[in-house]
Amino acid sequence: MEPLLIVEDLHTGFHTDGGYVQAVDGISYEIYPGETFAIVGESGSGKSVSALTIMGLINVPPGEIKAGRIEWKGRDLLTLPEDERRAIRGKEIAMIFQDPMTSLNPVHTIGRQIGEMSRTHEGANKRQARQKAVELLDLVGIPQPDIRVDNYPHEFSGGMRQRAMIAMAIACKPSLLIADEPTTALDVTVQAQVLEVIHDIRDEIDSAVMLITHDLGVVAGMADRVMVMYAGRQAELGTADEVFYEPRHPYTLGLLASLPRVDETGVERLVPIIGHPPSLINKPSGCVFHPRCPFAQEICSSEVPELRVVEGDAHMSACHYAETLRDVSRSDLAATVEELEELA
Amino acid sequence: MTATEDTAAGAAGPTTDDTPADDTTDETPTPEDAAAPVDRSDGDGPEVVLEARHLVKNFPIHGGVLQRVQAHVQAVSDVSFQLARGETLGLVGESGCGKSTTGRMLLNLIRPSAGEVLFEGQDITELSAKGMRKLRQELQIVFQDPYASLNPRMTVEATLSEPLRIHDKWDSKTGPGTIRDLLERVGLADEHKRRYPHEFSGGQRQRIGIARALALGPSVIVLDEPVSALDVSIQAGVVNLLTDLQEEMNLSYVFIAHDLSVVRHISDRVAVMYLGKIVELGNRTEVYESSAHPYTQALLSAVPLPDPKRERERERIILTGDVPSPVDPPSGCRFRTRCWHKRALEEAGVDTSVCQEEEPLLEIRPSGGVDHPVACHFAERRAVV
Repeated sequence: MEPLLIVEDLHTGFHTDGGYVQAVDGISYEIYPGETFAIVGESGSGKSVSALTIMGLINVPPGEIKAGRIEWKGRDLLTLPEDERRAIRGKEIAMIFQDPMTSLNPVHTIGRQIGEMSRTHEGANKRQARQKAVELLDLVGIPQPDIRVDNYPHEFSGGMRQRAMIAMAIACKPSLLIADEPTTALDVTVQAQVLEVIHDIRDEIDSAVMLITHDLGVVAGMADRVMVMYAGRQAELGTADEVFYEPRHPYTLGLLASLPRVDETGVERLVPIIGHPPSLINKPSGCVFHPRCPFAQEICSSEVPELRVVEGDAHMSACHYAETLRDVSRSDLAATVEELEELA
Repeated sequence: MTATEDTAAGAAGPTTDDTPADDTTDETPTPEDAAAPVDRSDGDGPEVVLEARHLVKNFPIHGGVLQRVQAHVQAVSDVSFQLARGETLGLVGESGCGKSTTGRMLLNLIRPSAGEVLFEGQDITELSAKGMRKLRQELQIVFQDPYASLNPRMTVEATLSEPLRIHDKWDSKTGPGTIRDLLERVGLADEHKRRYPHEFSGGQRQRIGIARALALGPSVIVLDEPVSALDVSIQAGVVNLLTDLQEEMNLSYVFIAHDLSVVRHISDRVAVMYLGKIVELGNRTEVYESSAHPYTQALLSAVPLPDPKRERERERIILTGDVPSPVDPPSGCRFRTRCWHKRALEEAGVDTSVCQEEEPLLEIRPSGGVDHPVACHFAERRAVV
């Protein structure tokens, strides 16, 4: 299958008073039609910036897309004139954001905002657009859509607003739906509802989903493939099962061990990742994770590890010692981390 | 609504009963007291340090030209529980369920509309500001946002020494040693004391907030979403720190959080709140492995597991609709408007009118095989995670 989207060696940064922030620092991946591709990482890992770059929503300046290529259905988005890009944005690639309150316009009705999509991209008239909005609200599970369509955003609850955002995003049946922390602001029971909507919608309109989140639980339930990011670089890339059950990067291993689980009583101590995330202005030399890595060796501080296939066809890791992680259990990791904690 | 009854009960409370803290379990100050805390101890009974009795908080809503009180938000409606020395009680629920308001009432940071908070048997809601200040040495709080809860103009040293100075415990000779000990306890170094909050990462700031809470040697700490603002890799270190401190200093925690996984990890007992009420209360195994309230079950089943294979097989209980407004909560059982269990029973031909007519009490329900208190007329044990 031909990929929909090819991102190649993308570098996005920001000029700030404190220096040049390398938010996205050379990442490459593909997204295939109909798949859910998750990008996981903690704050400052560059996961949102990489999505905003695809959407063409980076302000230049202070932002700068230093290098790289984003190929959408064979066309390079970064060199496309703005009007052609605009035609793709919203129609072929749509995005939903974390905070539905700030991404909806408070002075227009929900229906008008959803309808704007079909009016802009499909030339629908006012009546058609309203009818389309009602159908879309129904599709995302808003009760009484024909009444709700005339409501203003403040009349919707958080979960309903996020559904309205999804309705807007899927109005033109995009081939790629980018969801940036779509449920982070929601309560867990509402999160379950919204995730179900995203899951069903994907099948309904046959679109690919790029899911950006820090929540490994959400990833496990939704993703076909997972990319783990750390400090603007890729740590690991593979199918959900590969990444969760056979992690080949110490950062992924650390993330999984640090999570308490709702299906396990906490007899085991959680295993933290020591230290804290690096500055994106002065990144550590070599592997960006080496200052926090329990397995770091000399080479890790001098040589940047390449993202390479370490197992199977496409399970990739950017760790010099990826292969040796095969034999590392959670308790091994816990013991090593404890030793290091005592040393510090 | 119960609010008026409770006001009466709360007002009568302090004058009629001055029971010592250690045998409060069998108390029946009001008729509806079946929802009273249940002593989870086995036999000899641990020492109760803190007890909430029938706590109610109504916040007025002002409106109109004259800004008159138009209605009340019933943030907390009749919440009772006990906290034993050295124990962690988890308080979980979604936004607006009243868990933070409850936490603040425990420290008298918000005065309850009715009800009592007993610290070692003494009702703190009646205390003057001066009397309360004395008790602040014993009762401390750690807030969610380590960015907002530290004064940006104060060095770590000033932040940590302030409580000691206020309580006349500061001695310029031993003080620096105390600060060093505090910093060491929370995993920071002595040289950090001259720095300002902005020089620290989120996890380190939360450690400073914890050190500040520890400064006066409290026996109870209310932790209000202490790790929710932190990245997962950092969160684990802070959770471990809290567990270690509890062991070393025999602290009692009220751990307020919306993250059910963290609560399971850290709590001995768990209270689940919905719309201002505790709907289920039990030790963590009871609540997580044999929950009996349909809300708890829905909540647990909604938590995603970091386990793709289990996620693919899992059947979720998906709730419909949103939490109703606490200004005008549903009659009878507050959860009935979203209750999947009630709907299933109705489909099976069971008469569920009691859900609408009668408020379910928080009590043990042997009929459903439930041996911990649950506030549901049709409670039924079920393993959902």
